Amino acid sequence: MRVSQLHLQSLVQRSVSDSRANLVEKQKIAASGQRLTVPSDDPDGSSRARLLTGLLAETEAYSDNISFGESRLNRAEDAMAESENILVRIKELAYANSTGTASAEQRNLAATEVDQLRDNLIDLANTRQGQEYIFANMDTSTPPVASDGTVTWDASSGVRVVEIGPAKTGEISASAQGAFNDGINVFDVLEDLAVDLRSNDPDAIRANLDDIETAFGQVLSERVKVGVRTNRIRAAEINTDQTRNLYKTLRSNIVDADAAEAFSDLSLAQTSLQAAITVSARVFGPSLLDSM
Amino acid sequence: MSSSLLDILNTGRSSLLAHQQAVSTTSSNISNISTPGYTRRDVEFTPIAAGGGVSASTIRNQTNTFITAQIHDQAARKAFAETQESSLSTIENLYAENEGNIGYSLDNFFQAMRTLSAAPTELDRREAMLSKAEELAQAFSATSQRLTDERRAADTQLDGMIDRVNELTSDIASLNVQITRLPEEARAALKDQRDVLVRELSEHVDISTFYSEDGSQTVLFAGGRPLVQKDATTQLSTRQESTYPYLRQIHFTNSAGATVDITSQLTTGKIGGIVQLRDSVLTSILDRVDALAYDITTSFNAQHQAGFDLNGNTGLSLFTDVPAGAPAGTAVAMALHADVDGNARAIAAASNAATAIGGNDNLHALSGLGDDSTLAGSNSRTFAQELADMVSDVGKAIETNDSTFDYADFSLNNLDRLREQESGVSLDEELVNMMRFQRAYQAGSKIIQNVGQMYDTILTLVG
Repeated sequence: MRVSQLHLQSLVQRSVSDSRANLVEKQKIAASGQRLTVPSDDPDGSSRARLLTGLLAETEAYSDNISFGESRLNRAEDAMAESENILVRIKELAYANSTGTASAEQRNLAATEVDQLRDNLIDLANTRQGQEYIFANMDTSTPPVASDGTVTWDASSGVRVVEIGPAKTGEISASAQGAFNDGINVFDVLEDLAVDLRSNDPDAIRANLDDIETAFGQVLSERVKVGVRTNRIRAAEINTDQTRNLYKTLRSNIVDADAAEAFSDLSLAQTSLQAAITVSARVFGPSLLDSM
Repeated sequence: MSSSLLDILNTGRSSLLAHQQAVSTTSSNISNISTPGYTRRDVEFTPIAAGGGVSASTIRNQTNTFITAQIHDQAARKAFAETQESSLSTIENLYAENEGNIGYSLDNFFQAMRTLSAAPTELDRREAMLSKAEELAQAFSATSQRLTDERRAADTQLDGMIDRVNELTSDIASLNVQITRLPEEARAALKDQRDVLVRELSEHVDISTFYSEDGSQTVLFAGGRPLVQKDATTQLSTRQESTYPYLRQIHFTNSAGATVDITSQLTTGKIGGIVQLRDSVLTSILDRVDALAYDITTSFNAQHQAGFDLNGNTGLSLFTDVPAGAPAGTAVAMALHADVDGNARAIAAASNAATAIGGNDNLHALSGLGDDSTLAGSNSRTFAQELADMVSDVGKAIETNDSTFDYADFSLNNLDRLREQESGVSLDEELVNMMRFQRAYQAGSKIIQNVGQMYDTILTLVG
């Protein structure tokens, strides 16, 4: 079999350049830690990786909504806890001043305190977070309670709902109507009480006690609703955390290179190149020219 | 019949001349050891009938036409894949997970929508959604523009290739003329040159060749059409046929002077590679980008128009409108609609006028479009699935091209080795020959020496 010089030369050239190209490829993988950087590295894998990246972004969005919702609901719950405290105080005042032992002087002072507490309650109902009034259900740009105590009931009356998972929604709002005006207007009750206190009429004052009790119950029931919503959100949070980890793991399996494998491949490629170079030195070796 | 001393002298002389010729041939082979495409010269010794002796002639080794034909075939295939490589590589980056690509922008857009639904009256979040919508439009536009640019670049390469083909064919034809005028022994070098040109030609288009009695080579291509016939050549040219100026067709001027469109016949070689890249590969990728842009635009616009913005307006579009049933060109023109551009209040978050301020039902419907598997891929996939399919498509196109190249390269290497084996120069062989012919030359000179001595002997007899 005739072996021409051109063939020998091309043989040597090819084996060295092929080894070198392989080495470059393995270096790239080892350095970046990724076995998939462009679609042709693994077409089916990159298609799945694309879907997983999209799902991860979706999970982040749910996570953001959950945090946002949770902080809003916590704020609402705090405001209602404070409102309950105020109503407890109101009840104390009403009770203390409904007996015969209280003086007109005391009753007047109490009336002033009731007015103050009423304003505090209105402020609490108009609690803001960011730009939104959190007790305003849908239309969160208008304060739900006017300064005179009228609750502006927005006709939409819907609860703010956000996505907290795939095909899963959570309610993240609280209602001024529900807490302060659902059957009994709490601010009116307080206003009536102040009037009765100033009129120094113990029977009238006593008559308010039932209403105050009802008002307290009303606020409490809204607070319970908020509590239920918060729990649902928290459960969803655990879910999104698990989902996020799952997607990350799946994607990493496709995209990332196994470190041990990458470095051993690199080492092997280096050895191959070394071998190719050494062999090529010998291929051109002895010929008749040496002995002529 | 007896030979005279003169005859013997001539015999010796013929040996010297013959072996001188042989050494010259061997030297020629050794000098050309690095010349690519060189065909070995062999020495043929023929005994002279009258009076003994030998004559030598240098013959160019008969190339194996079967191997040559296969070499042309594989060279065409390799060039076919090689031509498309760099363009495909560029396109591939448009589908990697990089910022600014369609996938990345699509994810961000949906994320912004969901974030807005948590606080739909907040202007910051509205602005963010518009900004992400704009980025999505720009990603489509940039991707489509890039594909169009690559297609145009491919078309531009045609000029250089066609010019080269025309150059090669006219060079081959003029070599044909020269070769037919020379006697057999003098043709070798020109034949070598012609082989090199034909090899380069085979990289551009698929060819088949055969030799005629007079030594000229005929080259056919594209289903039997003649490129070179003895001294005549036919020219290739380009023509703009379609409405797109950079999708030119390749024409061939036949013997009757008429031009024929042969673009569809060019399926291999560099020119075939460009045609495939330009007309099938890039075009189908671009079509899918347009289709996805169209599907996204029409679905989102329809849903957005059904919703109400902060001012209670309805019927507003999110992206620039596209005419129904005409997806081509949607991607490059994709942008925010004038209804919402610069006006964050105009995002239709609510689903009825009563909840215009604070409602987010329409936003849920909009983000729900991402789960609808009838909206993309000819009513068979979600947007995300369609995009993922496009990614794997591009990946597969490149994988296929790479393997075509690798296989052709491997085959070509093998075939070259076979060719070299038959018609190449082996240093060892030539050196042995050189020693052999040198010895024979010495032997021939001995004959003359002896004849000389014999003459001396006779002359001495005479006086």
